[in-house]
Amino acid sequence: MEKKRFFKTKEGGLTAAFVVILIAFVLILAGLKMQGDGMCAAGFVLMAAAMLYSPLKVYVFDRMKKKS
Amino acid sequence: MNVPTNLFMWIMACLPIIVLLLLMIKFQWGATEAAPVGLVITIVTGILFYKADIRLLASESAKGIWSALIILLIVWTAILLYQVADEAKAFLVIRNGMRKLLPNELLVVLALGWILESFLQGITGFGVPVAVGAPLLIGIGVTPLYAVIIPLLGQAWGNTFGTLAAAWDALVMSTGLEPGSPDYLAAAFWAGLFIWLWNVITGLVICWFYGKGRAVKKGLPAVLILAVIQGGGELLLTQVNTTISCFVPSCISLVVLFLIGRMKMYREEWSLSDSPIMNRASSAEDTADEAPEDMSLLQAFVPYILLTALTMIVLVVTPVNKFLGQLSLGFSFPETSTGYGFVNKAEACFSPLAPFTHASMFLFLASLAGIVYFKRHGWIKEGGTKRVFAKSVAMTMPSGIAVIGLVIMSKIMGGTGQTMVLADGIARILGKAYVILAPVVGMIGSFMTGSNMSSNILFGDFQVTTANLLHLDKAAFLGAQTAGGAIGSAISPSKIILGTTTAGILGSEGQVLKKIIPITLTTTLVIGIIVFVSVIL
Repeated sequence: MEKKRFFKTKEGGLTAAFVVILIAFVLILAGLKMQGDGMCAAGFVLMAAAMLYSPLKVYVFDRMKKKS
Repeated sequence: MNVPTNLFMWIMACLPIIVLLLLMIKFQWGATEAAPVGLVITIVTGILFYKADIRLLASESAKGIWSALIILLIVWTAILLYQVADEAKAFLVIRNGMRKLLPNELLVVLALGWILESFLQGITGFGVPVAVGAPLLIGIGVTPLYAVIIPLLGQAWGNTFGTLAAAWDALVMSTGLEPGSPDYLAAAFWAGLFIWLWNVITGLVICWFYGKGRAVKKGLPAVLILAVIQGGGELLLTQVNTTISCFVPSCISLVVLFLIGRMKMYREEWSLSDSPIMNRASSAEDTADEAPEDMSLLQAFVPYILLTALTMIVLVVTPVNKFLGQLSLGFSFPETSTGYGFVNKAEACFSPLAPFTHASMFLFLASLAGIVYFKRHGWIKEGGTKRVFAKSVAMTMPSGIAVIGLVIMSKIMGGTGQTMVLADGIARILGKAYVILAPVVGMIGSFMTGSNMSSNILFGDFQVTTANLLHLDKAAFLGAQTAGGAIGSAISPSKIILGTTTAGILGSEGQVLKKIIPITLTTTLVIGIIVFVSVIL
C-alpha cells in the first residue's frame, strides 16, 4: 500500500522515470559495445520518454484531468 | 570538420537555450519540466540541422547519464545528511547555541545568515543552506523577506568549491581540464580571486541591510577577518586541494566567529532598535521549546565533525587516498561523428568514478554515523530513519531529472557541434568585448538551472571554445564562468523558492529577486571588467 501511494505522487513518478533512465543507460552501453544500432535506438527512445514524464504530467495530463 | 557557421545554424544552436530561458523565466516552469523540453529541441536540431545519427546521440546521452549519476550521488547524500540533522532537530540547537554565545545582534545575523550558510554550503549545498537559514533567522526576529535574502547571499560564495567542490569538478569534467595542470591551477586561482571579492561584498551587504552605515562601521572588522579566512583561505587552498578549499575555511570561520564575539568591541550586548530587517514585535522564542534540551551545541555538530574527520583523513593522508583510490569505475565509448565530420574521439574509460574517495562516500558514511549517534541518544525517534531516507529521495528526484536533462543536453550540444557554432557566432559578433559578459553567462546559467554546477556543465565548454576562438586565456574565462555561476546561485528561482517556502512567504519570489539582482549583476559586471583588463590590456 505504502509503495503504491508513493508511486502515485510526483516524486514517485520521477523515481520511476529515473529507474527507466538507468535501464536505458544499460541498453545504450550494451548497444554501443555490440555495435547494435537497434539497441542504441531503443535505449535512446526509452531515455527520451522517461525525461518527458515530468513536463507531460504537469502541463498536459494534470491539466486535462483538471478540465475533465 | 565542415559544420557551416552561418546565422541560421547559430540560431538553431541557440534555440534550446532560448527555449529553456523562456520556459523558466517567462513561463515560470521548473527546471524538471523545462530541461527535458530543451533536451528534445537539442535532439531535433542535432538530427535535422547538424546531421547527427542515432549512434552519436545515444553515445552522448549515455555519457551524459553517467556524468549526471556521479553528480547525483553527491546531491542525494548531501540531502541525506541534512535530513539526519533536521530529523534530530540539531539545527534548532545550533541556532539557540549561537544566540547564547554572541551578545552582539549583528554578529548573530552574520552567524546565522552568512557563516552557518557557508559551513552548510561547504558540505551540503543544493539549496540546503537557504532552507535551513531562513527559519533560523526568523527565529531571532529577522523579517521573513530578509530571512530569505540574507542566506541566499550568504551561501553563494561557497557554490563553486562548496559541496566538496562538486561544481568545480563538474567544470573540470565538462571542459576536460587536467587536474594539477597549469591551466587547472590558473582557472582555480581566478575563480578563488573573484569569489573572494564577492565574499567581502556579501558580508558588507548584510551589515548594510541590518543598519546601513552604522552597522557597516560596527561590522567591518568582523567582516574583514571572516572574509580573509573564507575567501582568502579558499583562494590559497584551491592551489593545494580544491575538494576541501571551501569546506575547511568555512569550518575555521565558524570557530573564529565565536572568538570574534569575545573581542572587546563585540562582547557587549549591541543592537539597533530601528534596524529595517528586524521585526521587534515578534517573539523569538516561538520554536525554542522544540529543540532537544539535552543536546549540546557540539553534539548537534557530530555528523558534520565526522564528515570533516573522514574527508580530511581520506583526502589529505596520501597512502590512505592511494589505497582507497585503487578502485575506479568507468565505461568505454566508441568514436562517433556527424554528417559534417564533427568527430567525438573514442574514450577508453570515460569520466571514471573512484567510489571510496568520492565526496558522496564521506557524506553517506557521516549520515549513517549521524543516524546511529542521534538514535542512541533518543533524538531520532521510532520511524525517524525511514523518514530521513524517504525525504532525501523525494527531495533529490526533482532536481535529479533536471540535472540528467541538462547534462545530456550539454553533451549532445557539444557532441553535435552546436556548442562550437554557438561560441563561434558570439565571438564573431561581440569580438573581444564578450570577455566582459563571460561571468554574466555563468550567472545566467545558474539562474536558469538553479545551480552553479549545472551552469558550469552547460556553459563550461562554451567558454573554453569562445576563449580559444578569441585567442585569449581560457583560465580567466573559466574562473569568471564559475564565479558568475556562484553569484548567480543567489538569484536562482529554485533556491529562492526553497527559502520562501521554509520562511512561509511563498509567492514573494519577485520581491526577493528585486533586492538581490542589482547586487549580483553589478558584482558580476565588475568581475567581467577585471577579466577584460587582465586578458586584453
